[in-house]
Amino acid sequence: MIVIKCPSCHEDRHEEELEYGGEADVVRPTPPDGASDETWTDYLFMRTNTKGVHYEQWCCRAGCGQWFKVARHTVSHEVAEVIRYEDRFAYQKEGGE
Amino acid sequence: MRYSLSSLIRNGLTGNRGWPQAWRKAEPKDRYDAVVIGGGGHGLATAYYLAKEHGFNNVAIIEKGWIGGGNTGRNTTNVRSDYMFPESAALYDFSLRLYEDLGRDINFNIMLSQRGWMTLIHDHHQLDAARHKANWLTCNGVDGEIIDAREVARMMPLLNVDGNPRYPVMGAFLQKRGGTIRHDAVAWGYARAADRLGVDIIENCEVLGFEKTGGRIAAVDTSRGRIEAPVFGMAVAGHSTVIADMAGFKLPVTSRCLQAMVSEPLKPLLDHVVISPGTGVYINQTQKGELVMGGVLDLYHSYGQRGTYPTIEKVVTAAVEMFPAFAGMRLMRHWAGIVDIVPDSSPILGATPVGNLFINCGWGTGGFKAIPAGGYMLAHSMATGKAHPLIKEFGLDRFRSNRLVDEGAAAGIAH
Amino acid sequence: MSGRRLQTGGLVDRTKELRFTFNGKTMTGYAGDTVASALIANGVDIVARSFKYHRPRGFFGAGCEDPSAMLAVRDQYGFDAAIRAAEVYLTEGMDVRTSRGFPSAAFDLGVLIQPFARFIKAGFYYKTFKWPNWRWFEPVIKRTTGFGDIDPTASPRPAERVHARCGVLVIGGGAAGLSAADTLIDAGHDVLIVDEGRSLGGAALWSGQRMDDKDAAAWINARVERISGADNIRVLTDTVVTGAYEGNFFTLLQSISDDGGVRLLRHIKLKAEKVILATGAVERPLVFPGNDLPGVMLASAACRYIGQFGVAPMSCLAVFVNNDAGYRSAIAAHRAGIDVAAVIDVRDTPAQTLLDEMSAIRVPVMTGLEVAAAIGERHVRAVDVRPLAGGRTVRVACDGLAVSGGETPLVHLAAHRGMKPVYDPESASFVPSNLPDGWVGAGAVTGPLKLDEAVRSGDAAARLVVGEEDPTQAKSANPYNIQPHWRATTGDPAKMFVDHQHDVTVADIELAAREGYVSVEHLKRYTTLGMGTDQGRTSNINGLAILAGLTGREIVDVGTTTFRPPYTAVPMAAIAGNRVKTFYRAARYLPAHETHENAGAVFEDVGWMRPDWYRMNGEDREAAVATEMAAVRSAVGLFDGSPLGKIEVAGPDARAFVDRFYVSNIMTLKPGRIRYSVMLHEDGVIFDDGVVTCVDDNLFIVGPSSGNADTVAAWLERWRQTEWPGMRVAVAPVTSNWASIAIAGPKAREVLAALDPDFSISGDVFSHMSYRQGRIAGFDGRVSRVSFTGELQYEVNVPARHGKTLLTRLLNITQPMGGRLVGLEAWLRLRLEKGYLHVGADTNGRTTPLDIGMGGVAAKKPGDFIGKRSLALSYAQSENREQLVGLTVKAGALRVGGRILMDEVATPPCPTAGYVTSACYSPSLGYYVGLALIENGANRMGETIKIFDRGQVLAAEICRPGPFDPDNERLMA
Repeated sequence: MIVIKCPSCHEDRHEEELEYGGEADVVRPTPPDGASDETWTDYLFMRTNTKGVHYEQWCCRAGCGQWFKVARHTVSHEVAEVIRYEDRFAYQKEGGE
Repeated sequence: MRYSLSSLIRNGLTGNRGWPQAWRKAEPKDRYDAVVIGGGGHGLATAYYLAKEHGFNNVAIIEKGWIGGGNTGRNTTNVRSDYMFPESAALYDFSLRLYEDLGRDINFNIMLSQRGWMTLIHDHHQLDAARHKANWLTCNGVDGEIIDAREVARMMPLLNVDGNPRYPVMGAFLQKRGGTIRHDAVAWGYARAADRLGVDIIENCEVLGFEKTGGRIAAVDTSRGRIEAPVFGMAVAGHSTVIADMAGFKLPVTSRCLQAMVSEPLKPLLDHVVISPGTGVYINQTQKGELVMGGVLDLYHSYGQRGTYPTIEKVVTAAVEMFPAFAGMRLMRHWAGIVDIVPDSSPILGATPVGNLFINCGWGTGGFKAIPAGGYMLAHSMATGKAHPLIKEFGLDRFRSNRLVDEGAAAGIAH
Repeated sequence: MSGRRLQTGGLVDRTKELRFTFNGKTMTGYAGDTVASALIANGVDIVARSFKYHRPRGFFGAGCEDPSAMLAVRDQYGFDAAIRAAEVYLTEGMDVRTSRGFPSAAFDLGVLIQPFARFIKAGFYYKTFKWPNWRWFEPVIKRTTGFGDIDPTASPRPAERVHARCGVLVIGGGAAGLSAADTLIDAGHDVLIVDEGRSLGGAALWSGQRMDDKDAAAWINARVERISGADNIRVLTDTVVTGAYEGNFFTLLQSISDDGGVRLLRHIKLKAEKVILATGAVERPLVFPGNDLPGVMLASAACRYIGQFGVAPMSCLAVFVNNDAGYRSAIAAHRAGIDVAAVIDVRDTPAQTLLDEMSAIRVPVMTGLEVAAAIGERHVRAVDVRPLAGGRTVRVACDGLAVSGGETPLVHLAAHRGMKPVYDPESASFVPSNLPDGWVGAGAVTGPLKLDEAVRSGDAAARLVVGEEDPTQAKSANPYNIQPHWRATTGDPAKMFVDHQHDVTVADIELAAREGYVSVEHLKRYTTLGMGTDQGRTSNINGLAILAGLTGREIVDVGTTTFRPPYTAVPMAAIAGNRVKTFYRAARYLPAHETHENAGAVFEDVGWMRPDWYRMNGEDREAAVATEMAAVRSAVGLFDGSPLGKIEVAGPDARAFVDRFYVSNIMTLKPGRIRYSVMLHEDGVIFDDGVVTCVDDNLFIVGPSSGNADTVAAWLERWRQTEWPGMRVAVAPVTSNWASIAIAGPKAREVLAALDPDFSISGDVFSHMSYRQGRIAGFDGRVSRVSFTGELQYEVNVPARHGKTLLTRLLNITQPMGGRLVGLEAWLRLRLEKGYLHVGADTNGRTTPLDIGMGGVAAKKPGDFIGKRSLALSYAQSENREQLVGLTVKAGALRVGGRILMDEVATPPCPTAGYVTSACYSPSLGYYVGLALIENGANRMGETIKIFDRGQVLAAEICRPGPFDPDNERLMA
C-alpha cells in the first residue's frame, strides 16, 4: 500500500486515492509532424520500465486532482522523492539540465 | 524411465528407489548451438521444441532461480483460446491443441482439465459482443457458444443468478475446451522431456550482460560464466526489458504485478472456470478443493513480487458478490507474479534489432495458456531465423507501423 | 478415548457449563474452552482423516499451528465448513461435526487406500492418468480431497471493515509484547497491542514457567492490569494480524464474540508508524515412524491443554525432546496428576538442573536415545526407544507422547514484506534478518530465549523503536540447549510424517530429492509439503532440514519457501464485509429515476441505471421498442440523456485548447453553434465522439458520449496540467449538474414551445446544430438543437434537481400528442436507421477517422490534434483497412456480430473481411439495416456480400450509413 503526500494539497494519500500515470518526462515530439516515425512511435510505446528508481506521474485523484511526479523504487515501492509537476527531480538538477 | 501405471507399480514394489532425476543438474559448457534465456514454461518449451522439431542436440536453458519459478508457477492455471483476431485465435488455439496432446507427448500428466471456460454476460452490449465473438471463433475454427442464464445456473448452482446480483446474469459465453492445467507440471514435464533430448537445464544462473560484435551477440555473461552460442532466445516475462536493455534495444513493455489467491480446500462446489466482466474476477476450483481466484492488475508498474492489498479486497469481495456462499470460505494464501504489459495486450514474438537474439514476451496476463505455442514459435525463429506464419502479425516491428492486435477485450481483464 | 477433564486447574470458568453437540452427540464443556479442549475433555481423540492415506488425526497442536483438527462448526451467528478446532472458543449450543472421513472420521472406509500407499507417493499423479483423459479421473479424485462441504443456505457471518492508525503497533501480547507496551505507555506513545488470544499474556499464563523465582502468571497479570489503566494504549484481543504490506500497513481480523458465538468479524486496515514484532515462536515436532498417531502432540500443546484448559489429553505421558523446553510438559503433567512414564532425550547430557527437577518428581530421564517408533493403531499405546548409538530397543507404555523438536520463530509478518529469514545453527532456528523500516523484534520471534530474556528484550525493543540508543542486551546463544535431531536415524521413512495434513513423509522427501526436486520451492510443490491450511507451521523447517541432509547441503543453503499472506486463513465474509449486492459498486441513478420507474422502465446498468425500454400494456421488449420508435417517427419521444457528458472549458484559450482534442476544426465554430466530431488517443484510434458547443469565445461545452463522460474530463484536465500548463483555460466536468431530456420527433418544436422558452425557437432562427440558453419550463436552462435520431430534436438541460419536474411536465405535454418515453434500445435503433456512429460498438481498437469517412475533415484541419501524427503511420494508410459502411438486408434478419465472408462459396472456418457492428429491423424502412466494418468497404458501395451468423449465411447490400431520410429533411425541419 503506497502512501504519498500530495505536493499540492499536502495530504497523505493512499494508492486507492491516487491514479498512476506511467513514466514521467516522456517528451511529446513538437511539432508532431516534424517527428520521424521512429521518434513518434518511441514516444507512443517505448518506456524505460526501470527496475529500480523509476520517475513517474501520479494524480491526486480523490483529493485535489493535481498531477505530480514521484521517484519510486519499483521493487521496494519506497518513495524517494515527490515533486510538483512543473519541478525537476534532483537528478535532473544535478545533471545541469 | 517412462512414466506409466506399470512403472508406478514396479517402483512402488521396490521402495520407489528406482526413479531417476527428472532432469539433470547440468553444469554450463563454454559453448552451445543455442541458448535460451529463461527457465519458465516458455523457455523450457522452446528448448524442447528446438531439440524435438529442429534436431538441436546442444542447447542450454539458463535460469536465474529455479525452473518454473516465475509466472509459470504463479498463475491461476487457466487455459482457453477464445481470442478474437484471427491471428490471435490461430496462435492460442495452436497452443491449446499442443496442450491437448502434451501429456502423452512429453510423458508427464499435466492434468489438463477441459471443464469449460465461461465468460458471464451481464447486459445487452455484452450479449452483442458475445454473439460477434461466437461467430468470429467459428470462422477461425475455434469452439465457443452462448448459453442462457438458466444453463449457467444449472452448471454453477452456487452462482447468484436469481438473487438480485449487482450485475445480472443474462447468460454466458462458453468455451468447452477451456479449463485448467496443473501449472508446475508444465514446467517439470517440459524440463524432463527436454533433458531426455540432451538439453542442459542450468538453474541459479543469472544473465549479467551480453558480449556483442557487429550487432550480434557473441556470448552471454552469466553468474556461472561466459557462454557462447550462434543464436539466443529470451523468454523472461516480467523482466523482458531488463534483458532487452542489456542487449541494447527498446520494448513497449511495462512490468506489472498480477495477483492470485486461493481459499482453504473444500469439497467440490465449482466445476467450471468462470469470469465476470462486471467484477473482473475469475475463479476455478482445484483438484484439491481450493478456490483459485484472480482479478485485475495492480495499479502501478512494479517488479516487487508482492501484491498490494486493495486488489485482494476487490477480488475476494467480487467472489462473494458472485457466489454468496463463498462468504463462508477462507482466504488461505495470496501471491503475485510480474507480467509484461503491452499496449495491445498481444505478445511480441520473433526477431529483435539484435540479429541473433529472438524474443518471446508481452503475453500480459495470459502467458500460461500460450506456453506450448510460445515455445514452439521461439524455437522456430531460433532454428530458422524466420518468423513462423502464425506469428507474422506479432513482431516487434508492429509498433513502428502501429498495426496493433488489440486483444484488450479478449484478454479477459482490464489492463 | 483417553482425554478427560482435570479436577482442578486451568483458566476455564468451571461455574459456566456449556452444552454442545459433536456429530449429533451432546457434550459439555466450560466457558473458556476451545472446541479442541472441550472435545479432549469428553474423551474424543479422532476428529479428522489425513488427505491422502485417510490416517486418523487427533489434536496435535493447541493453537493456530495445529495441522489436523479442522472441523465444521455452527454457532448462533454462522457456519464454518472447516475451521481449526483449537482456534474456536466453545459457546452454548454449538454444533460441531467432523468433515473428513466416510462414513465418519472415527471409522473411515478411506483407509482401504492404505495398502496402496506405496504406489501413491509424491508426484504420482504426474506419472499416470495421462490416458485417455485426466478429466475422466478428476471428479473422483476431487471428491476425496477438501475439508467438508459448504452450506449454501447459511447466512454469512456479519462482518464490517474499519480503518485505523496507531503510533506503535505491538504485535503479540505475550511477555515480550507486554513488556514493550509497558515501557511505551510510560513514555507517552500511542500504542496498539494486538493478541490472537482471548486475553493478553500468551504462553506465560499457562506454561508454568517462573520468572525471578516467582510465578510468571503473576507478573503477567500485574502488567495487564497496569496497561488496562493507561489511556494511551488500545488493546485488541481475539485479533490476528493477518498481513503486512508496504508503508507499514497491516490487515487485522478481530473476532467479536458473545455467548452465541462470533457475532461480528471486523476487518481492520491499520497504518502504524512503528512496529514491535513480538509474535513469539511455535514448537516443532520430531519426526519418527508413527509420529502422526492420535495421542502424539507437541509438548507445548500438552502444557497448554493442561495449563489453560484444565484437561488431560492422556493419562500416562511420555516426553520426547531434543531441548530443555519440552521438559515443561513433564512438569505440567506431573502437577496435574498425570503419570509421566519417561522423558526421552536425544542429548547425552542434559543440564543437571533439569535432571534434578525430574528426579524430584520421580520422572525417569532416558538420555542419548530416540523414539524409534510410536506404537498403536488408532491411538498411541507405547513408544519404542532406542539408543542413538545403536543397541537394544526398549518399549515404554504410554497413551500420550509429547514431542519437542525446537522452536520456529513466527517471522511471517516480516517475511510478507520481503524479509528473508536466516538460519541460526546455534539455536537451530530461522530468525529474522533485516526487519522493515520502523520495526523492531522482541521476544522469541528473534530466536529462542528464556522468559526473563523475553521481558528484557521487550523493554529494549520499546526503547529502540522510539529512538533511544541501542541498549544491546546479552541473550544466550542457545538458551534451550537444542541438539538438532531432524528425523529418526532408522526406520521406515514412509511412516515418518513431516506434514500431517497432506501426508508428506520422509519417503516423499527422499523421492523428491532422488528425482531432483531439490529447490525448496520444488520440494514444496512436488510433495505439497507445507501447503495445507496450517501453512506448514510445524512442517516446513523439518522438511527443508531433512532435504538438506538428503542432498548434502547446509540448511542455510537450502533456505525457506516464501511466506505468503495471510498469516492465518481469513473468512472471505470479513474481507467482503457488506460490500455485496447493491453495495458492491454504487449505482448511478438519473435525476428523474422515480419517474422512469413509475413509467415502467426496465433498467440496464451501463454506468448509469438507464431505462432500456418501458414496459406498458404488457408488451415485450421487441414490441415496446417498436412502439417507442414509432412514437418518435410519427409524433414525439422523450429520452433521458442526463448521463451525456457535459464538460465546460472556459478561459481565453478555451477555443484553442478544445481544438487540440478534436479531429474537426473548432477554430471556426461560431458562438451559439455546435459541431460533431471525434476524439482520438495519441495512437490515432477513435475513443470518443460527441458534440462541441461554442457558448461564447471564452466558454465551450465539450459533450462526450455517456460512457466516456468521466474519462474525457480527466483526459482534458491531464493534458491541461501536464502538457499545456501555459494555456489560460479551466476544465469543469458538470455532467451530473444537469438533467437533460431529449425531445425528438415531428412535434418536438410544439413541445418545446409548450415549455415557454424566453427565446425564439423558430426553425430559421434556432437552426439545426445551434445552442440557446435562457428560461425554459421556469428554470435557467440550456437547449441544444442536435439530432441523434434523424428527427427534429432538442436537448433541454435544466439543473439536475429539477429533472423530475421537467420530465413530469414533458410527459403531461406529450401524452395528448401520442408522445412516449423512449428507452436506450429504441434510441440506438433510431440512430441506426439514420446511420450515426456509436463509438465502442461501431469502432474497435484499430478504427481511425480515416476509416469512418472523416479523412477529409482531418486532412482539412490546419492545426495539430491529438493522434494526428499517428494517422500518417504506415498501417493507418495501408490498403484493405476495415471501413465503416451501411448495410441493408431486404430478405432475412440482420443481427449484430455476423462475420463478412470473403466470397460466396466459403464456409467456416474461413477468413473473413469484417463484421456487423450494429443491426436492427427498421420499422420506417420495412427492412433490416445495419452498420459494418468491412475491409475496403468504402470502395464497395452497392456490392452484395455474404454474412455468416450462427450457422446461417445471409446476403446484404453495402450502402452509405443511414438509408433513412438521406436528405435530412426531417432533422432540418
